[in-house]
Order: sequence, then structure tokens, then C-alpha cells
Amino acid sequence: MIKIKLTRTINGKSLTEELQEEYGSMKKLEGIIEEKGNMKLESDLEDWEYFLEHPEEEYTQEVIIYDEKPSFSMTDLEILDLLKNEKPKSITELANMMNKDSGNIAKQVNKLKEKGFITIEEKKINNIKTPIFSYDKIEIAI
Amino acid sequence: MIKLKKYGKIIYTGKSIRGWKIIIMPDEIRIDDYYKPSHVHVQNKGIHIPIKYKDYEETGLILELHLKKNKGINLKELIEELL
Repeated sequence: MIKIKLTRTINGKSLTEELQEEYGSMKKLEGIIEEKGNMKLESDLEDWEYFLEHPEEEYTQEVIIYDEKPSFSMTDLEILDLLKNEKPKSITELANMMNKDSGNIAKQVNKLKEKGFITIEEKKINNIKTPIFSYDKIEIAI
Repeated sequence: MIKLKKYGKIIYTGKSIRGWKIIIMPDEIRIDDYYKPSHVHVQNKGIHIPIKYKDYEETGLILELHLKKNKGINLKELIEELL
């Protein structure tokens, strides 16, 4: 098995801004926890409280993927690069940027999603699927 | 936190000066080394079970192999594997 590590580092301030965007306010998050508390929500609150006090501190988020047969094509790398730097709002927009058929690009995007490299944000309005890749670094250990 | 879907589970991870944590949902299992050497919390019952793996990556590998072998989580077995 080959180990692939995806990393992104953000500071405490950016993390608290992300949490603010996700939950609205700390009070709202506390309310949600009271209603249907779970470990993930509690962990978010714990981070929010901590990084509010430590805005300059770095927070590294890592995902380690163990892949039996890792394979990256140039198209995969181009997709990751465009998602990271151009942030297309949909798979169609991504395919247009690459001058490729959106059906084929959708297949590639799904493959990358299944492997854990990207996430897909689904908007209820218009059923738009936005692929997201937000890591700074991919390390492959051999 | 970073979110990763695997074998029907959502795994969140994070690492900072404070330490590292891995949360497995919806099983409500948290493995971290905050405030004390690495340990497992199960369903927030206030029970901390110390584990032998100190490193985030080693713990991640054990978890990954467990998920693959069981196609999900067998809590009793996972704890035994981490002890």
C-alpha cells in the first residue's frame, strides 16, 4: 500500500472564520450541541474557543490515504490544480476551463472523490455540484 | 476539520501544537493526544482508554486497516488493535 498525505495549514483566525461561516455564531453552535450534541460538533466548539484565543497559531489538517494502486494522470493533476487555484463553481465550468467533455470530467472528478482527494458540495438550488480541493500539498511516500 | 468519507464513515482529523485528533462519525469515537498521551474516547462517556500508538500517522494506519478489514467499525476489536 502506498501512503498519500494531503496537507493544508491555516491559522487560527482563518479556522474561526470558517467555523463562523458554517455555524453563524458560537452561541448557535452551543444550541445545536445542546439539541443533538455529537463529538464532531463538540470538537468544532473546542477548536473555536481555543483558536479565538490563539489566532496566529497554525492548524495543520491532514488526510492520509492508503492506496493499493495509486495512479494520477495529467488530467487528474490538472483538475486538482484548477480546483485549487481557479475554484470553478461546477463540473461543467471545470470542463469548460479544460476544453473537455463534461461527462468525462465528471467521471474523473468522481474517481478523485472516491479516493478521498476532493469533496463535492451539493447545492439544493439548481442541483449544482461544486468540486472542492483545498489542500496545499500532496506527499506520496514510497 | 478535514472530512473524509471511508467505508460509510466520516473521519475528521486535525493537528496543531495542542496535539492531534481523529473523530469517527457516526460511531462517536475520538482518538487524540490532547492533555495526555494518546487515548480513545467512546461516545463521550468520560472514559479515556490509553492506546499504544503515540503517533497520528501510525494510529491512522491502524484505523484504515481496521476499516478495510471490517468494512466498517467493530469497536471492541478496534480498541483491542489499538491497545
